[in-house]
Amino acid sequence: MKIKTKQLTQMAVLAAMSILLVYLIHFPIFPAAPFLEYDPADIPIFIGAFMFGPLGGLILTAVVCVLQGVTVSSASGIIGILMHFFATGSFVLVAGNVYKRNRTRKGAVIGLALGAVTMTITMALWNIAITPFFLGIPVEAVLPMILPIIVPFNLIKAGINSVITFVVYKSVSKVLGLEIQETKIAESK
Amino acid sequence: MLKDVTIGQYYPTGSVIHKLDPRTKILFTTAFVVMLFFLNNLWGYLATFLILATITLLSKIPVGYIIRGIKGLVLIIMLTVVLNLFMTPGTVVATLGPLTVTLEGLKVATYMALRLIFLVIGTSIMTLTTSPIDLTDGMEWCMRYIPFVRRYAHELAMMMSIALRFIPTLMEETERIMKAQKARGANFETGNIISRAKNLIPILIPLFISAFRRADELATAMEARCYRGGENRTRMKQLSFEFRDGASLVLMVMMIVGLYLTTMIQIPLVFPV
Repeated sequence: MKIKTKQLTQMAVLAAMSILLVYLIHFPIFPAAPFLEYDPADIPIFIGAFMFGPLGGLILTAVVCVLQGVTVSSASGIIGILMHFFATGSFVLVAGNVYKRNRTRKGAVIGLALGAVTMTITMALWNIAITPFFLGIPVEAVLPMILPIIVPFNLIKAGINSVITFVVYKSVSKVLGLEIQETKIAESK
Repeated sequence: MLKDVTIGQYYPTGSVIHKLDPRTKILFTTAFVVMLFFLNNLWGYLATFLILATITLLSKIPVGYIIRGIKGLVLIIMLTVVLNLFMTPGTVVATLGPLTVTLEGLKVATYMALRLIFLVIGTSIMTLTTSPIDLTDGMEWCMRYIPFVRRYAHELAMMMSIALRFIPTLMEETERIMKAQKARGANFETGNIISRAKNLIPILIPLFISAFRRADELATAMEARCYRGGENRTRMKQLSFEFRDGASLVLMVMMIVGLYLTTMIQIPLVFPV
């Protein structure tokens, strides 16, 4: 995939919006686990995945994760960057691939739903695999947290972000679609 | 309220550490993080502490500023300590109702808490002493040596620089949109999670559209100046590898060897080996 200049700048502003959204909005969903915060950072990335396909979405995810790691959420450091990349990356690969093959409203819904499920499963698996390594906690201590905390948290987070993405993408693509047509007419003259 | 916000944590003091090439700092930090996971006794953590203390002093960044960086991680550290303390089997030291504290648990809890704190301090010294733009330049160079990522090294770095440039602009835009929607009677402050998520939509749609307009204008401006990607592109600000970078790389190798040697020390410090 060769990235065109226009795609490059579009992906860059999407990344900027993602950083902005985490900076402005983040709050814990469960009072019991205050370190698991909801943030809408994934919305621009999902929209990017719809616009540029799975690979473009993955590139966008990488950019956002690194930028977020060095700017707003630097406290979680390397762990945060990696976990965010695996979570959002798995979502983007699935949703992007589904929507690429079926560019309809139905394709978008199926893609987002499958993406949310994939992200939840990935995060459950990575939490079992990575958390013991980083925090030195025995795996038996992580396992009881997976079903009651990690799974519902990721489902809620991915669910809210998917619904907002769906609503926003519909109207944004309508406006952008009009703009693309206008430029095409302008070029043909 | 949003205007005077600084994204990123760059803290300029003009120290030696600030003047180092970003590539040196990225390499150093990577080596440091990897070494942290090999430490297996308190001597190693003591050595790491001394290394971090020296670098902090050299960087002239106030210690309080660095310690504040750990605040965001306090919950995770507490969770780690509590889980390790009570869940590690071994020689029982104290019993507290159904919970038992073991010597091994005490040891692992200390190690993990120290590792997390050092991990965060080590990486935040890099972001504190390097401006985000320098950091993306350094990352572009480093990414050229990673397979697969290499193909997109320039694009990735370019996107990061543009994104950093656009964050304040979009911040202002957001504020304007929020005010405009409030004038139309929108309410962003109250409601449960669902209604708050719903309230996001009238901000997000105009924000996306204006962001894309800006992106298109920027792309036109770049193409008008014959931008065509990374190949043969010259830079206004060249990265340069100075004597001090060579010297710190030598120190880095010494640090790695030194930290590795501490893993072989058999004499116990506080905890029996």
